[in-house]
Amino acid sequence: MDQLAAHAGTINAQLARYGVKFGIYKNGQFKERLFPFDALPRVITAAEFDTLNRGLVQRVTALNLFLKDLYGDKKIIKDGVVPQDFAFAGTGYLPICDGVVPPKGIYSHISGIDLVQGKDGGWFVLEDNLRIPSGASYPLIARSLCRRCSPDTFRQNDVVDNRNYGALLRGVMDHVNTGGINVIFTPGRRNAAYFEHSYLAEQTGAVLAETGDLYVEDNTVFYRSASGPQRVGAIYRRISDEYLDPTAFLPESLIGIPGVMGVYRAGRVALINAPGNGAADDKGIYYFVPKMVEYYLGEQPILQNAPTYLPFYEKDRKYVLDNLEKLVVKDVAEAGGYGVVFGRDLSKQKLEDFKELVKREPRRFIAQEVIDFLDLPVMENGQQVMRKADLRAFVLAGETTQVWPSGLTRFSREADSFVVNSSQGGGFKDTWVLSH
Amino acid sequence: MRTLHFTFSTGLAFSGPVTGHQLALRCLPMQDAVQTVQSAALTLTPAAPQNRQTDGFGSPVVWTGIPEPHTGLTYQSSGVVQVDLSRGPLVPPPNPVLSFPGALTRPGERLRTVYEGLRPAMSAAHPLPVLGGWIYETLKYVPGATGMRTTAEQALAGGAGVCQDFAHILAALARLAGWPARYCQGLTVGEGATHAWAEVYLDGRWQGWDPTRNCPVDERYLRFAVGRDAADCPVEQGVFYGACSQTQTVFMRVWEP
Repeated sequence: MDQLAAHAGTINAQLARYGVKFGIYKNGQFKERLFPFDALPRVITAAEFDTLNRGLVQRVTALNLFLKDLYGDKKIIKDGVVPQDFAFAGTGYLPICDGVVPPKGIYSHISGIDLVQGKDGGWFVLEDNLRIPSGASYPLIARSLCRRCSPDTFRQNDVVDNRNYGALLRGVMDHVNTGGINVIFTPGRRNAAYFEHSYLAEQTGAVLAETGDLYVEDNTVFYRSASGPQRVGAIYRRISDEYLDPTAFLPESLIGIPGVMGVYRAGRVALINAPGNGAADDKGIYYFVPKMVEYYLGEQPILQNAPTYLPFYEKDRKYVLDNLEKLVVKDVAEAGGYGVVFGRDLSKQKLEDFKELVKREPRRFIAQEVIDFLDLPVMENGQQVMRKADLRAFVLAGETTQVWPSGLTRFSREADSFVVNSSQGGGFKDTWVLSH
Repeated sequence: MRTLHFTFSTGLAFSGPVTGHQLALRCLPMQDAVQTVQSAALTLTPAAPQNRQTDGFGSPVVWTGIPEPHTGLTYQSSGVVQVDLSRGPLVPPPNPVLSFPGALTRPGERLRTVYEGLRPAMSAAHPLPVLGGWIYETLKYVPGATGMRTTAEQALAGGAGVCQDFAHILAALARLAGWPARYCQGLTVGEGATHAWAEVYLDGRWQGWDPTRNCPVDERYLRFAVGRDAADCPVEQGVFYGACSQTQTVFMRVWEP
């Protein structure tokens, strides 16, 4: 590890050279910047990974069953396990997807599950990201650069090889493909994760397509290639639902594939991930995921949620109002670390104002205990310092559901911050899973 | 029960050639417990392949596209539909999402205040004449006062609108009262343009009210599509490439032979 730390500068220089960038919006302006890499990896033992693996597969399996149910028979709603207020009042549920069973019945092909480790070593799920979670490419390329800089490190440590991500992803695309080529569809250069889109295209052998490269004709999606039109069977689209198709969603979208929803409804193209997945990764729905595991699988959840309260329920609301100063409150409609408020940071007046807001719009928020999570060592100006960190695990659902034996570890660059999101300016680490 | 014959057409004319035209059309009658579709056809000029689907609310939707340059496009639907409201009680419970507002029917302060004011006058058995009557008395019918994306709250603030706005306000008020409600677009017996109204799920059936004309919805109303509001079920939602202006001509006729 010391060898790796010594190479940190070289690796960051290489990452810059490869254009490993992340876009962030600050004060309404889009800025692209390098995603700072810390060479000290997060290390997960084989035993620990075994638990994570089983827990994540279980969770994502239940989430996929939930989406199938929600857009189909809605049994979980009829049985009163998930109140309809949480399933339908938000913007996540898309009526246009109701009654569509996607190819092979898979909704969330690539799930990014955010976890933190408590001081006692136990893991908690903080968030499920089932729309277009980004981040797998960063540890993937960082690992390959680390190998190049310090091959000995990987000879001396039994680290599970993570270079299979491209193959796993390709397997998922091939499995759901309805006939035709695989495509990664990017909104383009100015997207926060453009580096990732191009890198994953290279890793999977899929075509990287931009706006205008894909079009619909005769109930079929085609790619405009140099040698003529090619039929498209699977689209890993890195563009959000509302911009995906101006004939079905925002009519003013200029970056989508007009008519693709018709082809999708007809079962003639796979969309990865399925549109409408926001209905299952809403921060309000999160509360119900352990209940989904019990409901659909008849099993006890292996992974726990962070202790969460829904002001929607009277009992929880009372607790939240009485304990706001020690809780973290999240706006269910926001993502990427936006709309997160720590009660302890609020002035007395602001705290009272916020309580009023919670009373007025209880459905809009969830509240969680602040988990005192494990700090990880980070190198800063040659010194080792301790910083908050989380882990985004990637779960791929194709013929089987598998966890990628690696993941994106993000850390906060400020000593007192609990927010680690890359869109808020954090850094990242490689995640090692040990083979013993 | 009535048997309605209908024909509906929309002509689009462009000031220059357009390409890559893609459309989703909702101008075929719904098939359900109340409406029995005996025949229904959609014709496109120039001719184009049709991908006929049923959307999440049970409305027929046809995706079609014309890639080649063209300066005009006409879509015409026609058919025969039996409408029988006496079969209403057989209607299955609605999609639960219809209990919640869509993008254009989210209530604000104004709608909430209106609802609170009307609540005492509403009886649980017959709330629609109260809500619908209030809208009819309050809102002025002014074509052009609102647009496709005007919300119920905005239309109420402006005090004027067209059938879409009248129906939005009715659906929004009904949901505030806790009833599932659906915005409906389609045709009514006569000649002219498409129409919109709202239906509320009460006592196991959909009960319709036309707040623009201030009358109950009867068997002379023909539904093409339903949704939380107009954004869920537009007659036409399309895009094309070309820097041109577009003019639209709509004609419809519904008759009983």
